[in-house]
Amino acid sequence: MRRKISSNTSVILIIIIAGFTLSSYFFDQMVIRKEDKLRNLNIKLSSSNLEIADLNSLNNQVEDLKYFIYDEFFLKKRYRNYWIKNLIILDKNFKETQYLNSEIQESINSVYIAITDIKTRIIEYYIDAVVAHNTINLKIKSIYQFYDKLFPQYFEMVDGELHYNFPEIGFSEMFEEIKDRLNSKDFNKYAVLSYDDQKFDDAIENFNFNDWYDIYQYSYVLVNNFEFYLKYIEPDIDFLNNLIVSKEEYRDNLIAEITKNNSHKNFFILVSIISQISSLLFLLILFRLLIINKK
Amino acid sequence: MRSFRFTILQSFLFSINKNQRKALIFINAGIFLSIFAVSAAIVSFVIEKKISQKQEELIYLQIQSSENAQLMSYFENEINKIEQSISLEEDDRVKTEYLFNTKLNSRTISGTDYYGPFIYSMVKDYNDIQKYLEKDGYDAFNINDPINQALIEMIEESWTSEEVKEFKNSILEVKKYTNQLDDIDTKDYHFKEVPNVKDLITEIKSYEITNEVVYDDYFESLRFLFAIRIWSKQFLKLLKGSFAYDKDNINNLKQDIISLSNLEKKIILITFVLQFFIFIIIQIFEINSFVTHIKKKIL
Repeated sequence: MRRKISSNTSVILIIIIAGFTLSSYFFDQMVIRKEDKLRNLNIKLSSSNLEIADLNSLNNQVEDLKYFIYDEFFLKKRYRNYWIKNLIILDKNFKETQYLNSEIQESINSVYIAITDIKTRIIEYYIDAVVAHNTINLKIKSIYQFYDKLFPQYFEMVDGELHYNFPEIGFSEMFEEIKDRLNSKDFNKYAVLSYDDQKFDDAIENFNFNDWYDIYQYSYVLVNNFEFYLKYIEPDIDFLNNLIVSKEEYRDNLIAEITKNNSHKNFFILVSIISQISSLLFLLILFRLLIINKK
Repeated sequence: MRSFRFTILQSFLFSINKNQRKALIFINAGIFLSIFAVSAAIVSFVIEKKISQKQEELIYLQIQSSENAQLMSYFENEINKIEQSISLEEDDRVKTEYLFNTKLNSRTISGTDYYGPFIYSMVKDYNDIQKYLEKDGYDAFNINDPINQALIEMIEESWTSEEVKEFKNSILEVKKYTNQLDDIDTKDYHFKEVPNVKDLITEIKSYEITNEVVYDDYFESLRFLFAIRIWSKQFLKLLKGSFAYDKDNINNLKQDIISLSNLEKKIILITFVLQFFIFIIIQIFEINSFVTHIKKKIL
């Protein structure tokens, strides 16, 4: 036998039960959505961590390069005049230092060996400066060549292809800087000394003081130009530091958002449980009401 | 379907005659359990709120702690570099100064040649540090800077007065030498221009090893390096202290979260058990209503 629900209270109770059941479904859905959002946020956090680690490693490499350049500059600068002054003192052609010559020669076992040694050191100092320039360029390339997105200014598009193009200072360009002051204007005369052993030996035997002074001047300019790279590297370090700070802020916000979403998810789970229990509670109240009404 | 079930249930409830009292006891027990379960769920809700607050606090502490750890490793590296530089410089300087006593070396390397590049490199390092710190608005070598004042206030609570004095002195000492470095013109030690032979001969002849200005500038630069080393060590000590303090706080927070979480777990378990009993009570009514309905149909 079907009976109609006559009591208004029963209807209200049924509406409350329905409300709590719906609310339970709704919060279950919210939990699923939060879980989905958390998954996406965690993916973003992993990418952000990777990006920061990459930027930190890049920044360390550029910082190390800066200190390498500083050290090269400092050490080479300290002994910049040492060998040429030795040569001037021991060279018989300098009348101004002649009075020193005899005095100092007494303390040297073999003047010939000493002079040969000084000349060798002058060339080696020059070769060291050339090698340092090449090393710096190679280090710069190994660091920058994979970061076209971060440093587009060091890349150029040629025939639709991206090419690494970090500013370089050529050896001939540096030679040109002091060419007017040099005795010999032939760049190759000194350039070959860095790779041709025979020319190296010939130079020791045949170069006159003017040639040695040319090498000294050229080496001096080479060392001065170590600072050329710092013009680019130092602003890049500032740029990377600022970028890392902003990326870390973004990551910190992500972490905070993940924590917030996690606790929201837990709240939703609890609200869903409370809704379920409330719906059961009102169902029982409805049963009770129906039985009492029958009485 | 639901409404069909409800109609059957309704007719069953109306048909209860004999066991009406028993049914009411069951229902009352169910209501009591559900009120208990709702209360338990609300308690876990409150606990969850507490956990959430503590978790947020924990996250910010962990971020701060990881930043401190990075700074600590940076300072450790810098101190190592400074100590290495001091050691190399001292070794080289004493040897070179000894060689200055020989006739040849006194002429071939002048005080300006030897000390100049070091002075230039120190002033440049100092400018770099200054530029880096000023960017964040922190005048690290000014004891009256608000950040330094806050740091001093902080360490006064946990360090001995002797240690606080050492920390303050380390800042004052660096400041003293930075004032002196500010007066040095780097152009004097940049040696941009290539000397001509005449200049070189003049230098050889004058053999001025101890040009007083250069000598003073060199030792001011060296003292700056010593002062920076001491300041870095003091700052590292402060960072380590702050790191340990954060670590303790992190551990306490973790402990709190774990115990709150355990409590929440237990309460939720109780809630589920209660919910299960309520569910059984309801199911008893639902199943009985079906059985009664079927029986009536058969009859």
